[in-house]
Amino acid sequence: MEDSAIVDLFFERSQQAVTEAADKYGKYCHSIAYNILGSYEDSEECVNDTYLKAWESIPPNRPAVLKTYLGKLTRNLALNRYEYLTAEKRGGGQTVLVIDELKQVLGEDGNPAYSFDGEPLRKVINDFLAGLKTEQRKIFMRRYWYLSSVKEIAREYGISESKVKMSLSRSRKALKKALEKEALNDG
Amino acid sequence: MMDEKMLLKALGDVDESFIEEADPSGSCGKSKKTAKILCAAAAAAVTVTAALLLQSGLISLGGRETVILQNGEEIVFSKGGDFSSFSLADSNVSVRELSSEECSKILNGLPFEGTARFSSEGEHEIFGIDGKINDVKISAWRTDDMYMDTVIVGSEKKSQVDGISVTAGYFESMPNSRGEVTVIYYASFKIGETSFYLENAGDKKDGESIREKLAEALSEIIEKGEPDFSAVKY
Repeated sequence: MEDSAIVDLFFERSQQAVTEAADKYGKYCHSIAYNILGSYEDSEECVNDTYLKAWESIPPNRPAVLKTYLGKLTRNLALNRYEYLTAEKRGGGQTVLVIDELKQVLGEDGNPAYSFDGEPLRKVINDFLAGLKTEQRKIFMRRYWYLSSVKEIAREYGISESKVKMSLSRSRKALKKALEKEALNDG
Repeated sequence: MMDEKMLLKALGDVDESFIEEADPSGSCGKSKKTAKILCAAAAAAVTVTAALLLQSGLISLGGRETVILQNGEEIVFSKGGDFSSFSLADSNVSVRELSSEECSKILNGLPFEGTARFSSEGEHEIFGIDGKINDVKISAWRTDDMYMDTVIVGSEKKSQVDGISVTAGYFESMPNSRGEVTVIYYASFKIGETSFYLENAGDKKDGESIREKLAEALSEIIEKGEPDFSAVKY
């Protein structure tokens, strides 16, 4: 079924919308949640919550790309769940490693200079991504959006793990520079 | 003050074109070991008391587990390191629930329940079937038009069952918040022009029974031979 037809079902408040969305994008959402949570059951619960959120938010929202809309919902829900689980000293997946890597962008205790968020932050990140070469951008997104493992990315692109790490390191430095520049402008 | 968790969340709100560009399901890497399978559709489980065909000899050495069939042949399941499935485009496919009569005919009398996938255009040719035999998910297809791309990472072991080459493996999830681990056993093989993918999953503590159920379904399908897709019309 076409995405637009599925969205129409949401607008019609037909429960078939959830069935169709799950059939088409359930595995995609599950793989995102699993990368973050590292648990089959927790990921299943997270994906179920995604459908509920979609039900609650469509309408009024009419997503242009249903797949990424559901993907974003899943990612946010999984990260929230990860925080809950780690507060209980549980949980797994790639998240702890990714967070550790992002400390290199911000410094060990965060960066007080970066007080901007919302749309300004979104613009900085989008501009930063737009400035990367395609493969470098894909590798960055696989690691920090899909939270794929370095091993998986290396296998996917047919390159060595060290090359992936090198690419990520360069990207993090570039992001750090972009954030520093915005902080200066903001200040 | 921004911390790394805030940054990670902020990264989630980037332009959708970047998300799509890096979509794992849209990039079939050249170095991946892939097995293309049809998506197993949800179907009601059937409870059938079947004679136990198997005698299980559990051998668990170096991430391999073995089921020994009654005829002495064995299926070796190799442990995989990763398992991920992605939906491929399926806009040209129509799915229909199969009647019990059709189910019985298509898999030569086996207790199968499920659906069939047809081309939504032209002659409405049948692509394949998805369903279950005794909780074991079954997909069978004849064409290259797949709806799932399952990436299997890790060593695989081929076994021979009645002259059919069977590739089998299993995966274990990380423990959930209750400490439970899910184990997923799978097997793929081809009879004539028809490819099969079987999968059975559940709590690891029931692993032996889960593995045996899969081997039992596999053994029965191979014994019955190639399915008769002509028994189903759009």
